[in-house]
Amino acid sequence: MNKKKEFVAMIKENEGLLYKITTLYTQDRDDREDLYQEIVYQLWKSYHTFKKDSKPSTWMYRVALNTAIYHLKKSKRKVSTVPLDNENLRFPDSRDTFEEEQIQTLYMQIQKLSLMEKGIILLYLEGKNHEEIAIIVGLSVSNIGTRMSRIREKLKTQMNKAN
Amino acid sequence: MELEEMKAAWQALSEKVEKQEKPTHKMIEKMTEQKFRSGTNSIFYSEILGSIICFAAALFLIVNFHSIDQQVMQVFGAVCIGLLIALPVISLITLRQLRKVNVSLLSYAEAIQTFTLKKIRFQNFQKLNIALALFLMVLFLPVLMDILGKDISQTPYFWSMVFPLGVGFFIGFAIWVMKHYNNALRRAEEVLSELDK
Repeated sequence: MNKKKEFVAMIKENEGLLYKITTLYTQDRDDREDLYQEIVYQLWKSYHTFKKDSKPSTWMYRVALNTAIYHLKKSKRKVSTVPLDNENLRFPDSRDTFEEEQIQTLYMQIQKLSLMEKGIILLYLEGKNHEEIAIIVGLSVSNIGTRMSRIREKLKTQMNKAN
Repeated sequence: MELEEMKAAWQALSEKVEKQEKPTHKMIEKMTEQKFRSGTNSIFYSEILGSIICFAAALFLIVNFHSIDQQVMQVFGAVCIGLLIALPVISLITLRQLRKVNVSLLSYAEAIQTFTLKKIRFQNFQKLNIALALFLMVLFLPVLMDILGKDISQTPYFWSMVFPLGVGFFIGFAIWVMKHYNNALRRAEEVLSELDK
């Protein structure tokens, strides 16, 4: 398999990760699609730095989260992007169900967190353990533990206020 | 909602994501081939436009420099040319540094720190830029009048109305911009202090 095909297959396998990061770090659909493309571009650009002995998802989380930071405060002005068929990059629409409501509430509350907290909680919800989070985020395992307790309290307070 | 419930909601979302329509292989390949515009590009475009205007003004002064009569105006003109060239160049360099980063080599914490520090540097420079732009305007106007062969002292209401109004407008604009940058800087500093907690 050539390098590009290998890369595309890796993206396809981990697309859910890209969707969740782009949704958490953007405010609207256009911005989300721009960030999605930017992440894919950055991943490809740094594909040679990916060490095959580590998990592809760990490397992808790192590059995707870092790209999201550099994408912050995007102007509303439309800029040229790779022409995409919007229908093919469709994200799930909210439906009026309890589950959807819970997901929406969760997203809204996570959006209110600081950049660092947002990154940590995202990785936690994605099922990463404290060691893996520490590697991606670049903090000590004990620091992650402390921050996790703080985030837990913060989210609880936010949820109570919202209800 | 407790963290465990959040995890369950997140899991439900993950399952939905898996079922949805995805970009095709071809689309992903396209994304790797074409350098598309990232977030900071909109700032980059306005900076480039501003730089073109500054360079055009500098070129105008250079071409017409011989027609400036008074020695003091020649000094003003030379300072204006220097500022009109230096300011946009420094601005573009600072902005380029903001964009130039290898996201794969940094951890998330390092990326937040690097980006925030670069942003603070850029915003501080923009504040200085505004102050210098006011200075430039004060110098540029009399030089322009001299080039056009107009005697400022003969222009009705120039010193009593036109000039103070122009400066007043610019100061008002500068205060508004400064306020914006100060708020942005405060937020950036908050992000940095949060990293040390």
